[in-house]
Amino acid sequence: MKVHNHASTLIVTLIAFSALALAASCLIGATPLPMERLIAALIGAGDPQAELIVWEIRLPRAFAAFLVGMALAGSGAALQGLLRNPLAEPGVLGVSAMSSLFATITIYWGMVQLSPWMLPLASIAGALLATGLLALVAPRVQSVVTLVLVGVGISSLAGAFMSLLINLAPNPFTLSDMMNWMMGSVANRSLEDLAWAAPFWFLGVVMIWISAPGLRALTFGEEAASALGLDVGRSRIWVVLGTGLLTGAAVSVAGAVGFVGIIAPHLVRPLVGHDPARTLVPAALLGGLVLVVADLVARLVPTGQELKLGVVAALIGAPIFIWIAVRRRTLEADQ
Amino acid sequence: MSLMLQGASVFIQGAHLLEKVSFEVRPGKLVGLLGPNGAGKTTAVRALLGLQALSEGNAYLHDKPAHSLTAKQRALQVSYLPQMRKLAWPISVKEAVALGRFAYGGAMGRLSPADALAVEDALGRCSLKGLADRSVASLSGGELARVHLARALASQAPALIADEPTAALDPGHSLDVLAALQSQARAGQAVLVVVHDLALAARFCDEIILLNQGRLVIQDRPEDALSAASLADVYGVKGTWSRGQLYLSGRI
Repeated sequence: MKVHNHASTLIVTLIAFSALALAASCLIGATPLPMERLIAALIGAGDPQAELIVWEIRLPRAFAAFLVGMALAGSGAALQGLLRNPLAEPGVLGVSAMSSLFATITIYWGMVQLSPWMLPLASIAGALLATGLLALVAPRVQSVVTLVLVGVGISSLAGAFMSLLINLAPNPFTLSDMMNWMMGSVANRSLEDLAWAAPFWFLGVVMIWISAPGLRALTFGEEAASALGLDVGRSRIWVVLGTGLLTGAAVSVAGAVGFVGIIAPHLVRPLVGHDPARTLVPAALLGGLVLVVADLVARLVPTGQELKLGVVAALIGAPIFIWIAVRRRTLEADQ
Repeated sequence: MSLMLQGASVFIQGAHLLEKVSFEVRPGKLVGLLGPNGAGKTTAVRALLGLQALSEGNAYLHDKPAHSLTAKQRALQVSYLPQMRKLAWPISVKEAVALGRFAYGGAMGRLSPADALAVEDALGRCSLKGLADRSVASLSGGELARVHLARALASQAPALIADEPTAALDPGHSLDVLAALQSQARAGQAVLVVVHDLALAARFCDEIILLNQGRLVIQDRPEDALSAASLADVYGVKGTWSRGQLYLSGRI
């Protein structure tokens, strides 16, 4: 069994496909407009109606999907490297759930009206609480399965509080607002919404970037990595903060979207020689691409109600998660 | 470069894992760290590396207290082959070995010429050149042991600690590993190796450090450290020396 590394080819290909998907997302939609008007609008030479649709509705939505996908898949890849566990992912480990719980609380009590920073900050606080808890527990439990179970626990706890809030929701508007957050969607996002999350997104990217070489050393386990010269404690802090910021930023834009963080790294890994550091960038790009395409599907499928992005992602992602889990068991049995 | 424990004790929740243990591993020596299960071998090794905090006493890497060094400084002084050797991802043999150069800052895919040379050298010395592009998941136990050894050799640190490098290896591969460690010592490295096979240790090591129940029993040449009396005392087995070889003949 040879190991292949096609990281650079893969990155170039993914960038090209992402650009195509983003453009397609701006050009295709419910309002039937002739292609030439849309292309003109996209390059800034169109009529006001086409420009409004492209720049105010479709472009922010496409970019929201792309950035959210990048954040979640990058977080997934980083958490998998840190915990040495291909099943780790913000959704599975309850990070997204905790983050959307905090976001929902700010909506519920109207705190979002206080400041536009409120939503991203609350989402990030929730995400950091979950990643911090996981990082505390991870060194104590050596077993992959136990850690995933802890994540399931965090997820259920957040879910229970969420149900409580829904149970007590004062009116149907709050209720539908909260359901939107739980299901995950990038509909009706403005460029301004993205701008409030952007600083946290970038900070998270930088932190994950710093931790990348350490993730590779962690292939040998924490003790050996430490003996190789890695400050394991510091690595853990960078990854926890980075994934907390990224997941929080993603949730503040789109609510909880699951499974991207597990699918993208899983598909990318064999193509980059299974190196956890080299997995990061292509996994993030693929995550972005997957969500842009999933959102396009959600918009185009002729259902009475528009499908939610999170629902589409889960419908594709959950079966793949089960498949990875089953395959992993057989691998462990072999050893 | 020497590795030294001075009056080192480790107490954890009332259990005395290590009690006032002092020993030194000098450059050019292959030193075997022996003792029954639970004697404190791994604790002593981890204390030397600064991975285990001492309740009393000191651990020195080349006259510097081990706990005062950063992980990176420590890695440049001593390379370590831990007992737990499962790799999380099926990376290639070459990349696994290249991680031995992590402390030099070149492990991010781009190896400096010196790193690349050290990796090639380590691959060659562990006869892994033909397997360089193979996935570590597809290797046999013996091949994987060679990968870990090569990773430790690639760091070219002046000292090397190996915790049971022959565990789960057949006799032939165990001999290969000990021979490789011996040649490292001959080349001037200070090498400390934890082994369970007494005959193997007696045959290859220049010195033996014998631990029992967290205490140092003796540090001496193999014939003296593993004398019939100390074998009976520590292991409860009968052993006889004949022409520089140790023979075990059952329990007492």
